Amino acid sequence: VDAESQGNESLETMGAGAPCAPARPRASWRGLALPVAVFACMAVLVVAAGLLVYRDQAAKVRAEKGRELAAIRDLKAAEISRWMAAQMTSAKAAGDDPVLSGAVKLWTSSGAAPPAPFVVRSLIDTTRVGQGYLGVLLLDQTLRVIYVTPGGGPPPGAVTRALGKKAMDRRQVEFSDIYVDAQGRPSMEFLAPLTGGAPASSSPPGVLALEVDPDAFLFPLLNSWPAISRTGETLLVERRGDQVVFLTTTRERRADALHLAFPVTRTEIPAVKAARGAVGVVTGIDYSGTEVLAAIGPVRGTPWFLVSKVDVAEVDAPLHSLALLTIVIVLAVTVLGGAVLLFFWNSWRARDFQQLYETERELRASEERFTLAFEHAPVGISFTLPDGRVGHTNATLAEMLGRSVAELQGLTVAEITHPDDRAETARLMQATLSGEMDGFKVDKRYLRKDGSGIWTTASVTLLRDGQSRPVNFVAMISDISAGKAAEDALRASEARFRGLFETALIGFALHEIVLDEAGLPADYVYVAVNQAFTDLTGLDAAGVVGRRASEVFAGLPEPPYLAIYGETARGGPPHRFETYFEPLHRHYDIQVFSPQAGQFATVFIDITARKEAEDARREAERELAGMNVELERRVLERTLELEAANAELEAFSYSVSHDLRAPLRALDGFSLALIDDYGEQLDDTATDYLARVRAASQRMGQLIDDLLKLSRVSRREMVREQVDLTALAREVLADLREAEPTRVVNGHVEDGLVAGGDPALLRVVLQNLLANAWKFTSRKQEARIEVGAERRDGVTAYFVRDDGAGFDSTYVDKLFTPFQRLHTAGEFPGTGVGLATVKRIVRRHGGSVWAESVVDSGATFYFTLD
Amino acid sequence: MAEERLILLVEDNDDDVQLTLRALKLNHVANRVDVARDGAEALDYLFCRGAYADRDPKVLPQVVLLDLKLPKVAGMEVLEQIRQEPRTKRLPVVILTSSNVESDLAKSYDLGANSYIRKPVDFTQFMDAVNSLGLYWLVLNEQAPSAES
Repeated sequence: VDAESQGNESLETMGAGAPCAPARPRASWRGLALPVAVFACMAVLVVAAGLLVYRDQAAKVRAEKGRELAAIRDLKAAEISRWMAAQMTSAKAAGDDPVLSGAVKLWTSSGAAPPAPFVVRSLIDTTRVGQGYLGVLLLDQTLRVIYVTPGGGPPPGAVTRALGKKAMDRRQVEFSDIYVDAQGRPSMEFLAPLTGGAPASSSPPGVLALEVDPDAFLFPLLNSWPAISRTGETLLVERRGDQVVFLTTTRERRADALHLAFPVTRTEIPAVKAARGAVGVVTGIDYSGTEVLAAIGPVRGTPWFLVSKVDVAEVDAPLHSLALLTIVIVLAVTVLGGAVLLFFWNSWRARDFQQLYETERELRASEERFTLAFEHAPVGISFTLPDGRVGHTNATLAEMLGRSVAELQGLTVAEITHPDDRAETARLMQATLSGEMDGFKVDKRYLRKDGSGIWTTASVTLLRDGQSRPVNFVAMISDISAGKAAEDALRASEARFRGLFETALIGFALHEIVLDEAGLPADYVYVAVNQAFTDLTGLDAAGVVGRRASEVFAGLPEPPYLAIYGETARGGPPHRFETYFEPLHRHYDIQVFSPQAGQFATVFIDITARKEAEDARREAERELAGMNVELERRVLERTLELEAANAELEAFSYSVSHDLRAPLRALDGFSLALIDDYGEQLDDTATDYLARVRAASQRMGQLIDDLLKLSRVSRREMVREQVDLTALAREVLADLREAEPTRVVNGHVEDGLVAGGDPALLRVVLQNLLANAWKFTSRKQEARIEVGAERRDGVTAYFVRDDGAGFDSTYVDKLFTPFQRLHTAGEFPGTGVGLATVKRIVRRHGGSVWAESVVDSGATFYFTLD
Repeated sequence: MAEERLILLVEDNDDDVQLTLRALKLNHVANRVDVARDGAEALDYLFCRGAYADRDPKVLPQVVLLDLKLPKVAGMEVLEQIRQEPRTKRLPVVILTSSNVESDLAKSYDLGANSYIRKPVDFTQFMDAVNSLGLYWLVLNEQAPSAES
């Protein structure tokens, strides 16, 4: 069909464009009315069908996306419900812990004086760590906070207290809405009454406020989108009075959690619709003013509503290509139909033009053939006027001369001829004009635009008119520069070869083979050698020419390479080989050929330097490869050893933590039993001995714990992040203060101490240094502990300074060695592991640690981090 | 209350058994304490099989004090089996161990332990912990509802 319509198009063009076309077809334009009408009907039908298909597809796309959004909404709602249920269960489990409830009851009944008992602290701390709460507060029946972890947070708000009361009254877990806490973070609390899991026989002794971080699970869950979408977003909203509040942070943080709210009357917003209880898939305008498609619905078990939405623009995006495709198809069908109609109409009309067309085509074809031949001839062709001005030329010639056809027009022959050939060319042209000859053929150089000459063979003929007047020179010009260049190259190569040979660096020798009685090669005689032979072998020409090889190299069992030379000399193929020639201690690359029967010539160079370099390189490579293999083997061995040692150490420390402590418990426990049960039968010395046994076992227990900590510090995987040392130091100081509330200690921590490092390990560093400062100031009525940083040698050195007992700086080297102490356990308790731990951590961070002190004037511990 | 209130102590170290019994006694807890020396014995006891086949299955201890490092069947596994059996799944279990490895603590809670007490070397601290256990379970508390009710 294509070919046909193409043919008809060109026919149509010709008919319209030919000036001599007969005027007859005018009437036939009326005949066009029918095909045009048919075409219009067809076009309308095709466009209508296209529209229908597009609409149907668009509806399907929307419906499909709606189902997808509803599925996402249901999935997320179910996940949030599950998360809520899990949080409620965890909170209930914490409140149901009978041990905690019992311990709190016991403690509060005696006035709940701080510090909190060991059991209460340990249970609440493990609950916090185990369940990942941000913080846990313990409130007693009067809603007073009696224990909080971690320390230093703000006091509980009115909401917390009200819910705590409600939880205790109803004996069930209550939860707060997501709200913005004192630090500006979204937060949520679960209030678990300490029922101890028992039925309502007695009122709970207190309530736990468990603070959950929605950023840890809830918000990430909402922000994750199961399919790839540019604008897809899930929002959690809630109705608070006549406002609908967005509980979550919106996409790209255009609004933080709880900072976005709309009145309930704005029903065009899907979130508002959701909060008013609507369920389903809706379109509307979202908070940012964009038109969106949204699936909305409630979250079971919560007061919240979910909105899963995506921009309508994104939903409709695939429709753009669909629309484009539809338009293309409609156009294609229309055009094709039009073309078919046109074909039938034209084939009827074309009969009238057939004759004219045939004639015209013949003429054109003939002209085209000539033009084709002229333009594509492999030789350059020029038409030149008798006065020497160049007329028409073909592209081949123009290309040959590095000019365009237009540029050549009007130049003279002299201008495009090489200066050396101008006179000859002018003479030949003149001779032709005068009638001496009809034309000529000459090898001449033309002049290229860039000024270089180009060798050509030019055949020139003079055309004359009927009266024998000259009309045009026609020149056929072929490029023979390649042949000329080859000739030049050959000449140059010969010259080079001769030069090379005369001053040859290559050794050359001609020999005559000597045969034995059996006709086999036995020896050879040197016939001629060149200077390089002497240079390369050290053998003087006079000393070898005319002599046998067996004489020249008398020390050898047979003449050198006789087998190879003999074969070549007796009609065998030429050879080439590299060899080490022992008598001269040189390497040679030798070629041998036979210039005539019974003779052979050797051409050789000395390759000793290259060979030696190659040998040296090979040797070096072999050595290196050997070293690499050895290195890899050692690395592997070391890695395996290290892994085994680590595993062993792990098992060892686990066993130490379990088994080594058990006997100590027995020592301590049974000593106490002796004192308690048989105290009256023991004198003071015996009681003192038992007290010493107890002190020793407890000290060893402490030692084991510290050692395990030290080893954990070394094995732990490090993470690196920005750590707020100021906050960390203040927390540690608060813990110390809580453990010994009677001490008077002025703690001063510099603001804005930030360092890069592992937060858990840096906490251990500060715990050890601050605990030391706390301990060594214990003799003072009023102590001062300072944490800060200063520049030392261009590095930030953090320090912990106290005004306590200090130490004799003579022994400063011993401070950081495990089990080395500068004070007796009687003066100040301790195991001597703490500073060793600090040193190890600081070392792992690439820093260093040191101390400065004067006895009785306090001590300062510095550390740097990489 | 006619019904006797039992404590099941699962502990392989005889010293620790004696010290625990002493701590209970000093806290005026006069209840009977049955001792299982390994994990397998503890499970036999609770599920009334093997050497304990003729034990009355209706009588369950008030609380199980469970060590983690035990011969034959480890403490974690004992806890897991207690939580899988409908009859014992609500039985209060307190982990009583030397370990302060964080993974042990987390795993115990994951498997449904009610409490986790680390046995300190200092006996007075140990007394403090046992004190809370005894007071609660055996003096203050009502019987926890059984799973069937």
